[in-house]
Amino acid sequence: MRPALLYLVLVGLPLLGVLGILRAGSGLAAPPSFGGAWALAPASYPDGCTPPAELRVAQSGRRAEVALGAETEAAEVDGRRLRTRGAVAVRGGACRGWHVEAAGEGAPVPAALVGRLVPEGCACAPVPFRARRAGAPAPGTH
Amino acid sequence: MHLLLTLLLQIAVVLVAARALGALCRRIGQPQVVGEMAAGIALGPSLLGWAAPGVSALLFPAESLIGLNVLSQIGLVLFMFLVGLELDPRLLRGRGETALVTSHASIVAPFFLGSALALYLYPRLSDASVGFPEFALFMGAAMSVTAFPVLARILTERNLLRTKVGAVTIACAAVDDVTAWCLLAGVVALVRAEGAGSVLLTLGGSAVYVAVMVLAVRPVLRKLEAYYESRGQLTQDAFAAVLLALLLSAWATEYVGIHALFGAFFLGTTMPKERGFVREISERLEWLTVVFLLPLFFAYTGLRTQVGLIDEPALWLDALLVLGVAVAGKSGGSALAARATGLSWREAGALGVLMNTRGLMELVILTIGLDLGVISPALFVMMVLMALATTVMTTPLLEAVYPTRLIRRETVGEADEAAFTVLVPVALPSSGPALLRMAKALAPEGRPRLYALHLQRPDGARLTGADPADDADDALGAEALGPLLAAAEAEGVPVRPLAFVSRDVGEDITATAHLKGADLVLMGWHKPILSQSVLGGAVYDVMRRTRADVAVLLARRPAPWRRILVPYTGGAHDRAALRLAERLGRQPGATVTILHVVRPARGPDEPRLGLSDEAPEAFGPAVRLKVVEREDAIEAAVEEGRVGYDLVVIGASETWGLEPALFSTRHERLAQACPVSLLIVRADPSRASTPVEAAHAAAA
Repeated sequence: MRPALLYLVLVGLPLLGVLGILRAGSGLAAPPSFGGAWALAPASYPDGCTPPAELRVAQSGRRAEVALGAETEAAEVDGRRLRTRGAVAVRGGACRGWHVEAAGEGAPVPAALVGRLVPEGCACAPVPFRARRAGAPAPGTH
Repeated sequence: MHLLLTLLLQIAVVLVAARALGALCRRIGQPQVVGEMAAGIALGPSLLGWAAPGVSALLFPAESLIGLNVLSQIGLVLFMFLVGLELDPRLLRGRGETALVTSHASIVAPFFLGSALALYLYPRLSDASVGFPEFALFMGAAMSVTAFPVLARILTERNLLRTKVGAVTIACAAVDDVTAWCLLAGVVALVRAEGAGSVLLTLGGSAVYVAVMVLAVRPVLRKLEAYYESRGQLTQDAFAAVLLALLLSAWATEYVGIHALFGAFFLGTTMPKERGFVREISERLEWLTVVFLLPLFFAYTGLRTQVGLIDEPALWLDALLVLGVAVAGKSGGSALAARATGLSWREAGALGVLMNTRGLMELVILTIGLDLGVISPALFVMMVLMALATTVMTTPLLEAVYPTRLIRRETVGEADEAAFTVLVPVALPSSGPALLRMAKALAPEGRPRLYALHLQRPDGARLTGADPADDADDALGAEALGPLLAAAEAEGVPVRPLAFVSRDVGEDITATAHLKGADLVLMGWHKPILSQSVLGGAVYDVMRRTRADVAVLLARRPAPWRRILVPYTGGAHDRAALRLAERLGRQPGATVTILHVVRPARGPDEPRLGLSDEAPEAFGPAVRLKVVEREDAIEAAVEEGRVGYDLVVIGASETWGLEPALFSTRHERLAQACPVSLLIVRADPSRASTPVEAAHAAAA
């Protein structure tokens, strides 16, 4: 085969294919982005029931890791909602941990999270919260 | 703990782990970088954090990682600069259409498949903060990369650079690297841009940057090279100027919106490479970068690699899919293109396997992707595993597709005709002249076919080990073989020099002896580090494996060796010693004394080992037979050796305490006590007289 024709087949055609893929993928939708650090809006809580002030999310598609300090807990993204599978463990305070249930506000990258923290291992009541992004999403947290 | 204390401790732990696992990988035939990558992952949450979370938290507290990150980033800047330095336009010289078509196809095919994979992965493992075009283009670029440094090292260590496959592969890898980094720079610009205006600004800035580098910086660098040439060495000022250029270049590309690493890489490619300037710069930077800083990058990457994120069978299937697409795209695309441009299937397969090596370059690109948020943590883990797997699979796959024996045949060549052929492996330059004179003395009536061989062990701290210069092969052995070649010229003995990199010196000497049809492998001796043994280390390996006579020369007296003593009790190795002594006896004025040692209490029926049959008539009148009755044959030989001889030629047998052994201190009394030069001979097992002797010789 002549070099020019060979080049066209081996290089040109796949390049056209890439253009086709970019066109085909333009209609795809990915889950909303919850990744990054979120500052929980300050509020007053009963003694011992104060939740951590920051919530961090590392997201991989529909799966995420939520941290309320050093410990993390797996979470799932379902539509616009984020929900931890179990309680996110915390150190100190009356509660062993908090379940996180939240929904994003704003699209496609939510600017705020609205939801509640449900305590585990204590008698505290669930805490509703509204969180704002604490700066730009941290690198690698998605 | 204080931040500095923590950082110092972290560095120490990382270095120990990287060196240990790197050395382990080299022992099992894997590139060192595989061990260093694995060490990084092992120190992260995937192993240390999982098995000993307390230790992990103590060693790598989150707040302390900034120091590690900064050092690893500096390491990457230096590394990318070195990669750019290693890329030499001479690599592309004369490669023609094969390299052009193959290299472009080897980029486009994985790029296409990577982008296609993005259609499946984007809804599963990405999120709305990243657009599909950025995600797909990044996946394409990440799949296209080839680890040029690792690849060059594998080619060098396997002596593939002198083969057609090696030449085309290195050219393709060079083109791939440049193209992949340009693609990545484009993707980074796209991700960072905020609107069309920003994209245009980045594109304009990039064009200005490239123009400044080519039109302004490169001429300055040429002047710097001329200054280096006039001084004859790299001065600190010149070195500082290069580092300054590196920092400014990295800063400029970061500022215009493509990545700092691109600036480092581009400056490396821009450096003039005609003279030794860049080599000296490389040498100054390589050890610090490769030994010290890159392991920190691996550790930092490992700390961000959480294999636990892939905790479902479906995710592991995704990881396998990523690996499959990566291999199919890179290996398949490269191999098909190479085949279509005229390489054989075997050569095309080898090229495909080699181009599939991702190694460190993939990690660099993935880190950029993770930092930019283009790929998610789980996808990052999958891609890191893919990078590790593709690097690990290269060596065994290459051995399967393109075995070492074929490479040797292509690089060393076969023996052309029958003659007394001597292979002289030279490790120490100073031992070369004596070996040359011994080889000449062994063929006094004609010229021996003489091959001088220098094997160089790979340097683990070199980035690639490759040298694109035309005379690189000559340079490799020039220092070690120089004194031997000079002596050969003075003596009028033609010598064919051979030099290449070797992982297994004993194996490569044996294989070369076989390919060249050597009658004798003549080696010098220098004291091994871990043994007192003359016949240990590589000598032991060669004596054990080689299908040719092997002789080791302890040159205690200079040539000529005319008065020759051959202690003899019988056996294959003594007979081999006799054969060589007979050759030496043909020198003008030479005399050979055969010292036949027999035990004093032998019975009347005990034979005298048939010496009369062994001593050939060819010795003529110059041979003298001396029979002594002694219980201790070694002592008899040493005593006789003290009486006016130049050389003792002796079989490498247990009788003389000269049995080859890997490590030995109890043997070799004779070798230590003999006051004159000693030639220890081990017989070619295939030439032993009886099956029993052959078996003994092979066992020895």
